[in-house]
Amino acid sequence: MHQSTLAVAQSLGMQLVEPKGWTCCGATAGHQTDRLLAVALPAATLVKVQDLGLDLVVNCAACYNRMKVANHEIAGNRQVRAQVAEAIGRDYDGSVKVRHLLEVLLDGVGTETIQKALRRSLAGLKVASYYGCLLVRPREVTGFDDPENPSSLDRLVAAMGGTPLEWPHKVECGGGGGLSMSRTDVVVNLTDTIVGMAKLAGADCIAVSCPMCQINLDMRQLDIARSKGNRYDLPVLYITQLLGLCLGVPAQKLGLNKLMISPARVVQAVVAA
Amino acid sequence: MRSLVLMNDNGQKKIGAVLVEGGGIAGVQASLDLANAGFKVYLVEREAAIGGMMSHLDKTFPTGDCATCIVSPKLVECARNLNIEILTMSELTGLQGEPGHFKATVKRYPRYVDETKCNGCSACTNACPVQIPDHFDRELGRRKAIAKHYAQATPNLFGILKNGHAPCKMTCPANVNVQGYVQLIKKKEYVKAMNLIRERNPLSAICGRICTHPCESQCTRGKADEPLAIRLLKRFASDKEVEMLEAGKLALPAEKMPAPGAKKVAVIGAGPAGLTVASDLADRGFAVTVYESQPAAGGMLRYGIPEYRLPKKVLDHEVELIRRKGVRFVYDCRVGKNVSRSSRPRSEGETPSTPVTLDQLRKDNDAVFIGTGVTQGRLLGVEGENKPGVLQGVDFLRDVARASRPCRMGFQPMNHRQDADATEKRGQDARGTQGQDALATNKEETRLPLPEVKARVVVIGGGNVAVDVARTALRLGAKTVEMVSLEQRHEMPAYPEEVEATLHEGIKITNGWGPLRILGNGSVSGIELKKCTRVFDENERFSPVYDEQQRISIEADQIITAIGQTSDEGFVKHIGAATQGRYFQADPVTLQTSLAGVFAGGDAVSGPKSVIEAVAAGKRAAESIERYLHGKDMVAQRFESEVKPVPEELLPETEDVEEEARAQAGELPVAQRVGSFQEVEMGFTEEQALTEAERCLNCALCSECKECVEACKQNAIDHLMGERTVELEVGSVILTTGFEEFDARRKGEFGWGRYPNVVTSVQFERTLSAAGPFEGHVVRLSDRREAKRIAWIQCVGSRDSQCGNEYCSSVCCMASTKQAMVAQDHTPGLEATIFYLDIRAHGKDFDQYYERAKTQNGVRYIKSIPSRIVQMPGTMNPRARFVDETGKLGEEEFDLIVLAVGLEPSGSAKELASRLGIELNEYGFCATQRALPLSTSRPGVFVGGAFQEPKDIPETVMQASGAASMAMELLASARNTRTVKKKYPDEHDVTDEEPRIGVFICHCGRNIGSVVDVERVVRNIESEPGVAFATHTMFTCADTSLSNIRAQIVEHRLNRVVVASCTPRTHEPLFRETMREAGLNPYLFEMANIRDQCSWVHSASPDRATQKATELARMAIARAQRLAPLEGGTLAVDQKGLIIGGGLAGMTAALALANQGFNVHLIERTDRLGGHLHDIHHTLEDTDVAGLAAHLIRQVQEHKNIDVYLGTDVAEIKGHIGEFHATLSGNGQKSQVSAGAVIVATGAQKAQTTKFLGGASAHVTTQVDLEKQLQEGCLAPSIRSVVMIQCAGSRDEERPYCSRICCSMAIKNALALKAKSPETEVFVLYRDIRTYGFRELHYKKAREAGVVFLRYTPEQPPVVSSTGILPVRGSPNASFRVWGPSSMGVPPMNIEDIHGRDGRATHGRDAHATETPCGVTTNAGGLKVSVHSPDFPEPLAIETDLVVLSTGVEADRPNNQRVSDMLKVPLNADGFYVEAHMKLRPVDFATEGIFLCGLAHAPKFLDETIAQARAAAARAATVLSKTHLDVSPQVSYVNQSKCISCMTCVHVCPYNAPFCNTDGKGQIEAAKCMGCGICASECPARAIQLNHFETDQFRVMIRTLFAEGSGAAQEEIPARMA
Repeated sequence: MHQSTLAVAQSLGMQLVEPKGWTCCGATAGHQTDRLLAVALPAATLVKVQDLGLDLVVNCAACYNRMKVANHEIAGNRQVRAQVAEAIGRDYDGSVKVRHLLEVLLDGVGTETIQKALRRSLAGLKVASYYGCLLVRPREVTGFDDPENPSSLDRLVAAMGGTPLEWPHKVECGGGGGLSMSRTDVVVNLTDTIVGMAKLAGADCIAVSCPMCQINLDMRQLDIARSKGNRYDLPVLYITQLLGLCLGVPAQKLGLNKLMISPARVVQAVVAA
Repeated sequence: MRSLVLMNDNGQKKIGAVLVEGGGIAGVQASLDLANAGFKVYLVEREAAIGGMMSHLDKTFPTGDCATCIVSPKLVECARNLNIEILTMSELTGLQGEPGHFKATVKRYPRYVDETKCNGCSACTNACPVQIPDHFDRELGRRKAIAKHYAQATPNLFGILKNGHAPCKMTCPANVNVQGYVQLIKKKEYVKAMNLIRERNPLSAICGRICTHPCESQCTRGKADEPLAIRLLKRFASDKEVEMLEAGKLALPAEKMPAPGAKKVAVIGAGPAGLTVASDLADRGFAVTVYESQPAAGGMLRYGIPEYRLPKKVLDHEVELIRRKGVRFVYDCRVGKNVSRSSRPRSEGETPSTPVTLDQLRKDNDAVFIGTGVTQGRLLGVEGENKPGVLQGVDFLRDVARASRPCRMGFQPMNHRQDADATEKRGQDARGTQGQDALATNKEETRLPLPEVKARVVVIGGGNVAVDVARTALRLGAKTVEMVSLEQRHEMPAYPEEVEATLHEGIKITNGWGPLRILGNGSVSGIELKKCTRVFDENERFSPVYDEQQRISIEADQIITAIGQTSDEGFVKHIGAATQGRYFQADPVTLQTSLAGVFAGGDAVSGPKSVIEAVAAGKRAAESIERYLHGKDMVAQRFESEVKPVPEELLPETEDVEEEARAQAGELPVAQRVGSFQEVEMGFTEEQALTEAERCLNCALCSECKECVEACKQNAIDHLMGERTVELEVGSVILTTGFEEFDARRKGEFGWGRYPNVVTSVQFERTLSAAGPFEGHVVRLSDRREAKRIAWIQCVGSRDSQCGNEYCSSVCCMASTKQAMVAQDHTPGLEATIFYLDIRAHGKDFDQYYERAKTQNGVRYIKSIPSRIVQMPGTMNPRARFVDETGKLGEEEFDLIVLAVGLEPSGSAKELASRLGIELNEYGFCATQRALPLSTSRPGVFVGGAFQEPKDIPETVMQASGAASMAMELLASARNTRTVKKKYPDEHDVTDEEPRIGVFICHCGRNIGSVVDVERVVRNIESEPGVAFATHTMFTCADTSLSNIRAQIVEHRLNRVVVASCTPRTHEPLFRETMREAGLNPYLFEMANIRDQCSWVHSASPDRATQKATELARMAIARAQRLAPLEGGTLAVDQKGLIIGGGLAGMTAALALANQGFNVHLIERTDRLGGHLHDIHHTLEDTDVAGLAAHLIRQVQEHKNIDVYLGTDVAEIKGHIGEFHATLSGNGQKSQVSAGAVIVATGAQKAQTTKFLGGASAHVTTQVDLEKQLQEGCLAPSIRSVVMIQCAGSRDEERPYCSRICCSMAIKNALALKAKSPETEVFVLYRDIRTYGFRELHYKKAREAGVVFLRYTPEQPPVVSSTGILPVRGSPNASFRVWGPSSMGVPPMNIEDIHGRDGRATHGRDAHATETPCGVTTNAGGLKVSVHSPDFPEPLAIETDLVVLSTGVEADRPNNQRVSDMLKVPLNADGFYVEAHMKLRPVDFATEGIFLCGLAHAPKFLDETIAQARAAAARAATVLSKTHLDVSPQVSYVNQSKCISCMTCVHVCPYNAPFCNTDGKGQIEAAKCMGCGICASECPARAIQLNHFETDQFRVMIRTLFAEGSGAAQEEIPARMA
């Protein structure tokens, strides 16, 4: 995911700067532990970005959500702002613009530019776009797309020449946020529902915009097969992996070899186009 | 609290008229009551017809009536009432003045159909090609742009829906009505399509070929898939036109000549602009002469655009059409100030031009238009440009055009040639008289040789001309053609498809290079190019930058430049008008130049632009020239400024449009193109064109194709109709704007709008309706498959703080229950599931209906609201996810899911309120108070129906009548001042006439017509004896049909009328009225019911249904022959009211009548007025009830028109409507009073129960008593735990109904307990919490206050037992046991959450009850309540101090029975009175003159009682306001000689009409007789006959039925009948 993001950024002429000394956003563990901690951890990174004078681009839905929530809470509540200032040692106003990579690709770069840069096409490959629950919710905070029926990922897929699938589980929770490690039984059930539905809808692969979702949907297919006997073999690709393929980035630079479910069919379909 | 006292009259005379805003059932009811009580009514409705939401419904609950069937007669009554003026498509926009004298401003939107002319014939709808989503069917079906609002619409008028003008028309520079002609093409009306285009563009066929079609770029369809192929459709129509001309199916229009003396206009230049001006001005009657320097018309169309793109034939055709309008063309004629303007050497044989000066033209003409275009090619300005072999592209194309074929021949189809020749001669003669030699119009032009094309041609330029040059050069034999373009491929100004074609044909394009110099010694050998690094600057302006270091050379024998055109500067400069650069300067709006009377347009003004832009300029100039010559304003109201776009938000939805590829036209194979000028693009086939035209989304709704105008025989259609504003004088205003359903899109998780098989409840009503989009078949949208498994989700947009609607919408639970049951009727075996929160079946008889749905129909009720619906791939089945009652997460698939969407006030009502200064509540409903439910914040403006609070039909009707009463009270002094009385013509005496019967057989739309062959019935009966006229009608009850009946009565001298249609119960009064209007006695009318008895019951066998219909009609005809006129009498009305019951209902009704000036007798059994008001202290909303009671009682006692009789009972009532006599007994005395109307307001009583230790324990009390104790402050402070048990003795076998008020009462008391001491634990054990409407907010408040609501089921009711042990708080065994931790799926609720946290340890309390100061035993009592809540896995036991039973309301059976017997009015099984009709007559009894209100009708709240009491007063006022009433002559009479004095009639009559007269014989009191006929049928001596239903009339019917020749077998007529 990381590899492919860098590769795609490079071929689209995006310059990504890594904020020095960034820290973990705390993720689900953070916000289940302590509200202040959950806001202060992202804020610590956000001030660093503010110093750089840049927008923050995030390619994980959970980190994105945490950053957005932190901004929302800090900007909207003077008390929180003061507490955070105390915790991280300086005042932060919640004004750094946080954008998900998908937003940057669609609104910043634009599908037209992307299309011009495409070297290959998904050639009608049926792609189930999976957004997960954290990218689009809560709407007041993330303001990202329609929380019930988002379409940004689908637009990107269409721009790449793929066929975005109308399927119902675009924002269905897969349990990746909090239960991935602690309650694998729950996660297996949830991911089974999602991957099963994508398969039922006729997907050739699933496109995701969150690394945790990717790990979850990809890796758990083995558990699903083991514990429930449902074998889907449905490749789950991070959006930059798909985009990278279409931009002509060599497959080995896209981290495709790290996937549990082989994306060979996808790669072949793309190359053959 | 606002005062109940109405406004004082300020001396000014009040206006006896009322404006009712909103024509739903509320508005209709209020209007009818007002009009029938002597007031003029303006009924204002925003839609095209009245009827409101009720007209959308299929059936009503719990009665199962067809909603339309019960509402329609009321609507028709409204339409026919002389004193109700219905203003449809209108809205109240302003209100000035004060109560009694308002000035109302009403905006009337255009219907585009003249209401006075439309007869509802539907010819327009049939002609209309535009299909748009039908909002009446909530977009499930489609309608035409011109249509009736719904099938039974009142008034029965058509109307057109317009949204503005479509984007295509807006984008077209000439504003051609694209949508209109596309629709006409769809209808295969190609000639009409062409004519419509030509209204705005005389060069339509040409534009069909070469238009730049900006319209397509804006086509809304483009958002869904691809834009419509508009240009090709236009081309298709023009090809069709030519095809028809050639086939002789169409004649060219006759040649016209301008009228003698017509003003003259000269047009310089016969290019597109000039041709348009000429065409348009000729149409407007001017004498136009066109001067053209070339030998033929067309300008660049002829001399610039190659034949393979625009065949000259097409151009010639269109020029010919213009010529035929009387336009003169003068060719080869150059205009200039005696300047020879062309430097180009003349070709040999070319006609020398005749110089004509502008001055001369101005002298000879009244106006001049200059449209000389851009004719000169731009120079490259490089070295070697004037070498031989370097050509200008425009010159090259012109020379090719002039050489390729004779130019002058107009399009003349074979069979028109002669005619054309003849007119040509006449034209010559006419011109001859003008002595112009230069005309020479029929001289054959000499062919010029084709320009020479060398082997290697290089074309400089990247625009369309360059492309044309290159492709032409190739066709003329060039070996290689190469284009050199400055621009990169994607920047090239030529159209992409042209560039594509160029490459396709083998032409090379070199992009990004500019010419440096032309090479060659003497002649051209090539060209040297420099690199162009950038063509456009940052602002996208043309500003090329070169890198002269990079150079290439191309070899060439010939170089043709086409880098743009410009005007003939010499000509422009010398003409004398102001210029701007090389172009004429003209006013942007009027196109006037600096010279008086000289106009200019097209490329000569704008520089090079497209054909359609030149046409637009021509249209603009023609308009200006006409205005100029007629001395009119040059600017105001020009066409262009009148064209308004469709607002963005009203454009059609494109998301749901099914993708369909745009049609592609064929092309000539490349191999055939080179060397030929055959047209490259082939047009559409007819099939393609029709399919393509279907893709149009009709953005503007009406396409203004004008087909309806042609179809309408009444000339009723006026597309130019505009908005109007009218001012009305009214004394009062009633707002009945109703509701709009919640927009289900706001609950995105249910996917409405995305999933076709998720519909709203209103959509489902339309689905169920026989008149709906699926004709009543329960199908789903995605595949039109019958839905077998349907789920309903309640509370979508109600009881939901997330969407802002925290209130309950009151009607949805019952509506869904009804829909489930009706759907099961439609589809046997249908599985219905209803997801709900609480079933709110709080209305009269609702609970029984709900129980029936559950137990008999097997409707599955699941107490859960699904969290999400997903649509399954493939099946498209919606799947709901929900937590079931056991707490398990489940998912279930259905075929269809119905969202029971909530009620919201309409957006327009909110706007209206702000304009009128009416306060709204936080949800946008009209703010009212419980004690004043009908008053808005503005005096004189009243409210009723769902705009006040979400409510069902009966409450709506009650409020409507109640609001009418408010207005009547305000305007009592102005009664009968603004009304008119209907005058009927004198009755025609038919006694000595032979019967002449008119028969009208009704189709009832499809209701009868789809089964019964109505026309056959007409044929079958038209020769029956006595029939003078027979016909069939679509809707016989429609206004226009009724006028037709009247007309036929006159025309055919009919003296009897038979209608075979629906039921006389609803429609007979209507037809009888029609008879009277035509001067016939209404009893000369007979009706046959061929709907219920034929089409409905025999729908499976149409033939036999038709046969039966014939027989029924025959019988009716036979009976009609025997009908005799009947004369009814009149009876005087005793204008006083008698009200039984002095509680809230009785007092309110008394005051309402008294305020209207009527005297009232108010009878109260007890010694004080007020009834239950004394038990209520405040309402849930904290209204001061005690204050209200005191205020009311004082008002009643002090009112001069009210006589109060306390401690008095009605011992006997005799009489009838208009004249009742009551014997009162009270205080040991008897007295007599009389009245014209009676209102029953006898109330009800508090129910008692012995369940739950009711009455057996001092610690078990009722809500009423608890309220009292709370109010009086005598509840023992030691009480710390209260358990309320709802439905104590209600909703069970003993009392199967819901008492409606107990939930709110419990919440009121629970909140009071919590307010008093927040630590007091309050548990409410309930089955369904029924806090409907805004009461829901208090339910929420109670939960927030910590009141614990625990559900129980009737199968496992709570058990109350006395423990005798006091609960000791904090000890381990205190309170109730909690479920074990092992239970899964239950929220981890702590016992303390329910029981309080403070662990109050020791309340050392006395186990013995103590007397409180009030004398009520309320001390802690050691009770245990065990309850098994389905929401908890294990039973709960609550130890409590006090158990409060919600026992509800019970009818006072003995008293009700007594009154019921006395008045002969019925009671229901629960002992409450039965109103005339549960939905639409909720305050009337079936017996006329007697009305009902308050708890005697059913349990209800205070505000509902007030509304109903006022409603009863309004209804009574419709009687009391008249001095006389008409008495029906349809009564029984006793043949005294046959009477045997057996008194059977006296016993059987339900209305007390027969009595024993002084002769000892039976006699019947006509005023009381309801004409039911029971006495006639029971009379053993057959001494009684019922007028109009006499034995011989039936006998003849039976004879007819069994007569020879009729379908029925000849049978013995039963002896009794014979």
